[in-house]
Amino acid sequence: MSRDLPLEQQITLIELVDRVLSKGVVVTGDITLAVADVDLVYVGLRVLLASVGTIERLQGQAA
Amino acid sequence: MLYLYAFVRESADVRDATGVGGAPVHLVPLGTVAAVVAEVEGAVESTDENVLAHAHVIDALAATSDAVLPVRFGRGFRDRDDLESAVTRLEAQLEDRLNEVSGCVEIGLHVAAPVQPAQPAGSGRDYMQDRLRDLARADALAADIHAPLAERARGATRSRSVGTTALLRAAYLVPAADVDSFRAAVDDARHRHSELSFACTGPWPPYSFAVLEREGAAV
Repeated sequence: MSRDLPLEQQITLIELVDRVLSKGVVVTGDITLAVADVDLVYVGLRVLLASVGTIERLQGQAA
Repeated sequence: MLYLYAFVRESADVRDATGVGGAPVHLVPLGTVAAVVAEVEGAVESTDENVLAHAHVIDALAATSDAVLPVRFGRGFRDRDDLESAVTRLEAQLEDRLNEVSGCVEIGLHVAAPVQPAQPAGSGRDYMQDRLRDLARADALAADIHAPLAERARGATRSRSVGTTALLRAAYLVPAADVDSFRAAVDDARHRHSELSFACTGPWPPYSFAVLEREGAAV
């Protein structure tokens, strides 16, 4: 189920997780609704993508 | 609670978007800018599905409007009043940033050098001198790749703390119409440095350029 993804897709995945979790605007005065662990999310996404075949969708957005 | 996805111009279209937890996304106009939010009940779970849902909302926004400032995953406001008072203070800055990223996408670049075999151990002093020389050489190489790309881009950010193997980690803000020529410039650099590994990703919504002044450096 967690078969290995090609390097190019792994890098895209790491880059996606990195952007969503650690880049982007943070507004002064906001509150935290969710705290995500980068490593856990990354591993989770790998499994998710490898198992339900959303790789194409991700590629479509990131290619 | 209002979960926050992005800032856009007041005229942006967010019909049909659903986000984290399946909650419908809507626009809150706040002067010249608008916040893209969804009502959520309490805390949001930090699952991979939710992270992907967050990214999908921002992708959908980027596909339909020319200026999107993504917000980091997991942020929000207690209610509309809190959102309004926070955004009112920042309206001018958000507008500037939206103008800056307007029509642009982000291209990511990683450049890595092959791992060098360990040298026979000399004196500690020799080791330190070699190490400093290697770092200086790596830095010059990274600058040689980064500078011409940064010049082509409307904006560029480069991570610090790189060593002799991870040479360069950078993001470039590129007008959508120039993505092909920018990628060609990356390919040129790749050919000039065939000993290095290049990984070029994107186009992304401009996550790395969605930075407000008080936060400090982008990367």
